[in-house]
Amino acid sequence: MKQVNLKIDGKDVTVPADWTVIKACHQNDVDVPHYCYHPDLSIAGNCRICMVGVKGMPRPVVACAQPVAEGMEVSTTGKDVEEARKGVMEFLLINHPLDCPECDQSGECKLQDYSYDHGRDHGRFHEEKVRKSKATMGPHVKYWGSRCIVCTRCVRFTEEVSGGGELGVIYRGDRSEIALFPGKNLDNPLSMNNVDICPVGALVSSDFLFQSRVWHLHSNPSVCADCSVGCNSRVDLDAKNQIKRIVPRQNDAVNKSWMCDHGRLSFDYVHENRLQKPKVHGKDATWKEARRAALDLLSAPGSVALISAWNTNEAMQSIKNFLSSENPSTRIFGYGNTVEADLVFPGFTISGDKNPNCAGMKQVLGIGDANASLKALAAEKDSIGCLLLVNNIPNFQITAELKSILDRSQNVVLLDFATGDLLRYGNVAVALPTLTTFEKSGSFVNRTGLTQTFDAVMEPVTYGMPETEIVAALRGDRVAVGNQR
Amino acid sequence: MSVDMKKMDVHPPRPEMRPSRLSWITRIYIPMILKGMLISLREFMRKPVTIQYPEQKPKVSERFRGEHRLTKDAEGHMKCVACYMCATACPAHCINIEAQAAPPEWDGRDKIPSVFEIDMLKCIYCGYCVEACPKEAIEMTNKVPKVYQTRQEFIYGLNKLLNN
Ligand code: SF4
Ligand code: SF4
Ligand code: SF4
Ligand code: SF4
Ligand code: FES
Repeated sequence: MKQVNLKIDGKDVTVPADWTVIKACHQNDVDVPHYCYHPDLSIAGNCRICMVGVKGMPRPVVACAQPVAEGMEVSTTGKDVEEARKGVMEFLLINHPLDCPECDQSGECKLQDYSYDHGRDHGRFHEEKVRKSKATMGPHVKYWGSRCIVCTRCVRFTEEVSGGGELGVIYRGDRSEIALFPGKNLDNPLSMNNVDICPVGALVSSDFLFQSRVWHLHSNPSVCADCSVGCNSRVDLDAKNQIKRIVPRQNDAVNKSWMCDHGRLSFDYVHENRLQKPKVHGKDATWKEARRAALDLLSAPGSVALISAWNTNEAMQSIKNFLSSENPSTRIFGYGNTVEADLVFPGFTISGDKNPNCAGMKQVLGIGDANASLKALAAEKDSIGCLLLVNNIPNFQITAELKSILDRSQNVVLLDFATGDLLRYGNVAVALPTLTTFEKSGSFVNRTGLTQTFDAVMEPVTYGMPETEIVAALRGDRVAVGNQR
Repeated sequence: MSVDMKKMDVHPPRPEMRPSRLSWITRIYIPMILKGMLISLREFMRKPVTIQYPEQKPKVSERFRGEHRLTKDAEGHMKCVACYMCATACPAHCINIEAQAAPPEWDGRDKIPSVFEIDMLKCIYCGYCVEACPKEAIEMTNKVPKVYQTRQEFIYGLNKLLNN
């Protein structure tokens, strides 16, 4: 792409010729306020807050719709620009209910931010404000019409990314608002992105509604484990170490600015039905006892390790190393959630492979197809000395194949974070509590072959340990860390 | 500006360090003890300034910052919208709020608290919560804080605060 040179606030920059002024500014760390502009959506140019001065132009121009040109001189400050923004802010707030105390967006709202930065400190509008409708757009999204600034980001999202085109603008002028097309419902699997991209509190999440004020949350970066896309996410927790919501982090190589609703909402398993402590033959035990029992069992001849594709590369590698030194005859198989067809939208694809690390399993364990590997093991008939089952799949439902394998195992050592189906099935001799993806660090390889590392976003809620530490404890590198937590 | 190093070197002469000596009248103590007892006697005769709290309540000014009250609007609904501004402003972290959706028939209201607790033991009665409230939903009465037998009773809930 041809490059052009321009000046932004006196600084010389060189950018591709097809960029807009706002993109050139943002990429060079110059802030330009914007509502309707979104880097991953088409340009609408309707909110007019992004005014900047361009030398030679009689009045400020909208930076989001202005292409860069050779020799352009852009100024993002100055009297003209500030006056223009001030005017835009005043108009946007004319019919706004100013109900920040009740609004979930409060604290991360662009209206608040830009009003503070560029607006005036009082309103001059004394007439009656237009009251607009309140609606439930879909199972996860609610709409507060009066707060809407009709930037049409949500409309463009449903057209360009999720593709359903459920939303449109109705009425005109100061009465215009967003509505569902007749007979449609905003129930696509990407619907909650509308909540994120809405710059104000007009579209809010029904799952997060009134749960917390955003300034009471603390956030940590993570990677979604719910499918092989591996969306980059941000996990917001409250002061009680409870996950309150998950939102996307922008990464153009993986998920752009989007994430699916399922990935955002699947965190209940962190707080429910957790395996709190090690169990030996169904009874709570200390790590020391459990370690000894597990070591005894794992040395049995004809043992098999069955590792799910929900495990991190580090977990797989450490277990592989452990087995090859302690009981080299142990064979390793893989399994995972069943793979369905991908869900393809115009601007996003949700993978049908509901495991985060099938690619990592291939790299680390050399198992290309997790479920074929499970089938191969299920087809065998010989009795298994000891089955080391490393599950970590949330809400795992036991399958017939797995049952047949469990049935012919003399002993089962289970590594899992939940007291789910597997533990209930009965013949688990030793169960060692592990941690969910949110509580440990590690890395997954996504389906494009990108290795993504992540860190724990929260304190562990159980006495569990990450698999790598469990292996270290089994080896005796670290004498069973015990009930420290 | 140049500094005159010679001037800076000049220290005032140090006083001779010698333990200060008490006069003999002080050293025999008796007169001093008598003086102290006279003061006690004088105070004993005066009207006491202390009161028998909590049986007796002090008289306080109208503007005294005492126990909180949650106010109600013309329809008798609490004004509070569970915005957490008071809890955010509170330096003692003694306000605990949980929010819920308002009943649909409360016109123009979206959110109300389901839990609103103030721990009167932690509260320092600074009044920041009142200042922070955007809805004039919380105010301070001039009720002097009460005394209870258990800690739990000091945590005032929604009902108690609304009817305080
Ligand atoms: S609902 Fe939000 S995103 Fe949609 S037009 Fe209104 S302000 Fe913009
Ligand atoms: S698309 Fe996949 S990785 Fe992304 S949020 Fe959804 S489940 Fe998670
Ligand atoms: S008076 Fe001060 S310490 Fe007491 S609840 Fe209000 S803000 Fe908190
Ligand atoms: S009392 Fe006032 S500041 Fe506190 S939550 Fe209610 S409305 Fe907000
Ligand atoms: S961001 Fe440029 S007009 Fe809205």
